[in-house]
Amino acid sequence: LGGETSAQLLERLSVPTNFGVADWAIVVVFLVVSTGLGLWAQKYMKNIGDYVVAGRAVRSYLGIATIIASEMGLVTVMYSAQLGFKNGFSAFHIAFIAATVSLIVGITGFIVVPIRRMGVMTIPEFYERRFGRDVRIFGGTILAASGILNMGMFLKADSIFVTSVMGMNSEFQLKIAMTIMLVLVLIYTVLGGMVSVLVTDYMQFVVMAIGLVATSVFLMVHFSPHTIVETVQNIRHEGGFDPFLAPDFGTAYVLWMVCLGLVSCCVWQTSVMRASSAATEKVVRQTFSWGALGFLIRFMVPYFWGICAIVYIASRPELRQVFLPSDGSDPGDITLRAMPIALAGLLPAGAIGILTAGMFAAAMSTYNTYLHTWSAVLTQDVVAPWFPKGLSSRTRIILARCIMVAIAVFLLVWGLWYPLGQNLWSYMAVTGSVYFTGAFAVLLFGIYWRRASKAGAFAAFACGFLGIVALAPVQKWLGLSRLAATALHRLAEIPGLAGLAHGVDPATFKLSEGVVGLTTWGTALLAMVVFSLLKPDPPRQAAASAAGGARVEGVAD
Amino acid sequence: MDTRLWLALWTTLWLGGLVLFTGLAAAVIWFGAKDVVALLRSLAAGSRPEGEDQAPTEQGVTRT
Repeated sequence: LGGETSAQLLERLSVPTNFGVADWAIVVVFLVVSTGLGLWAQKYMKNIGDYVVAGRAVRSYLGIATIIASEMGLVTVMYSAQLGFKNGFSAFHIAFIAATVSLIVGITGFIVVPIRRMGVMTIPEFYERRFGRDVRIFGGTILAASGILNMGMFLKADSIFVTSVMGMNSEFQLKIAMTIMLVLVLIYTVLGGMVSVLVTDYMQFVVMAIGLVATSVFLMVHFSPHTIVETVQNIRHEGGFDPFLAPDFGTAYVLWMVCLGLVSCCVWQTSVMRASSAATEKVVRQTFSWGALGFLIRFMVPYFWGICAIVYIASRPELRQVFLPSDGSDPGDITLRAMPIALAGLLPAGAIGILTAGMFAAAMSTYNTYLHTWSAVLTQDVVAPWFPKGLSSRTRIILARCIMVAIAVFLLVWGLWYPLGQNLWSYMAVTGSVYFTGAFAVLLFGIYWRRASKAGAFAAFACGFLGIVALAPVQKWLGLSRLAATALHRLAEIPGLAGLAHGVDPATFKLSEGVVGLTTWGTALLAMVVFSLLKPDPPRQAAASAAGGARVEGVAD
Repeated sequence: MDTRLWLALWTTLWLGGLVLFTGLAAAVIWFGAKDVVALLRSLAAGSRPEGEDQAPTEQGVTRT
């Protein structure tokens, strides 16, 4: 690249895009109509109570539309497409595992059925009923910290999509786009309040579903299967098909994905709500069994788009030197731009506008939900429990709105400052697991083991938090990679362990996300057991907890 | 496992998933439109529509 980074080289290139005036018009009209419809539908909601009543009146098809619309954000499309671009078909293993685990949970009712029996609506509510108020506050704090950190890259990733399809590939343009998008997010959220009402969710589903299917069919017709497979074989070799050989994956990563798939089904807030709000246990099982299809598609479609981006870019020398350097080096975060650039060059004018409008709407819906969610968790589960006399409704609303604005500003600062240094999916998975590694241990033993104690719950949360070392900048800052490499070399001096340090260079060695994820997973489970045995709950508290647990399931010792 | 076997697995999953999703999306778009109309009518009339009900939900975490 002649000393230039891939990002600098891309800025100099004139990247072709079919995004034109008609597409701009489509995006603007869609946003105006979508917001207008949301505001119009609100006239039917006389107060916040009516919003909940509307929720009770949701029929099944509208329910499915809203679930899919809210579960698939633009950031999902971005991180999945990046994985597809960097690892070819191997990325499909994550969708396969997520779908299989959801099916197994649906068939067995593991964790979700006991949660349905207990009737809790939020995970922190379970903590309080099983272990006490302080566990609720501690768990809620880690949940919010992890969730906000997890959301930290949304603004950057979404702005990368929007600027890339519009042919604006410089860092300066990205920063401007991020700022404009943040302002739009705040206007959308504050003006509309709960604008993502059912009507707009339905409209978003229609545009999104048509966009996903039509774009995928277009790509399948445009590139022959033979061309796609041959290109992936030439560029990504065997690692493009076999996840155990892919550079970003490997055995530990695949196993970690199994753990993540399980958590996505059992511990994530939406899953708990779905389990709790189902009419019967049969409905819980059916929801998770059918949910497998949703898991499969929401990852596989963008993976396929990322794979098609390999084919598009491989056939264009100027783009190839940016995204697929001949020396095989990793071009870094810029690979996030591969899919949108490919789609902007492939889809005809008009179609790219509709797709962008759908993705934009998906992003807005996600921001709306996340900003409300994390501000609500911080207000209800972290701040409010500190006030024994309670907070007035008005104070809570003001507090929630202040937190919302603070989170929005954090998104801009974090997106501009944080050096990603790893796949966006890995960032999402690591920041998510900071919370749910401990949460899974607390839920699992809290439901199925009578002797699980408060001390065990605190220990499990603390161990889960250690998973943050899987973030590339944290590893670099703490010097952990060098430390681990040195330790491996020391161990290799022991007779019989020489193979441990094979190919480990202390200068370039990096602890893989899979290894760190699995280690913290095991440590959290172990800590829950060990600390529960070492420091059991006092008899009175244990009896109360067991009473809460006994209503859940036949709790076993 | 042989590369061809991996490819066969991924192709089956991809095509099967896309076909199933297309069918589901078509059904949801068609019947969901009727649900939206019924919902708005019921809210305007101050009553709930007949048919399936869902328990009240709180704003929750979206998995993205």
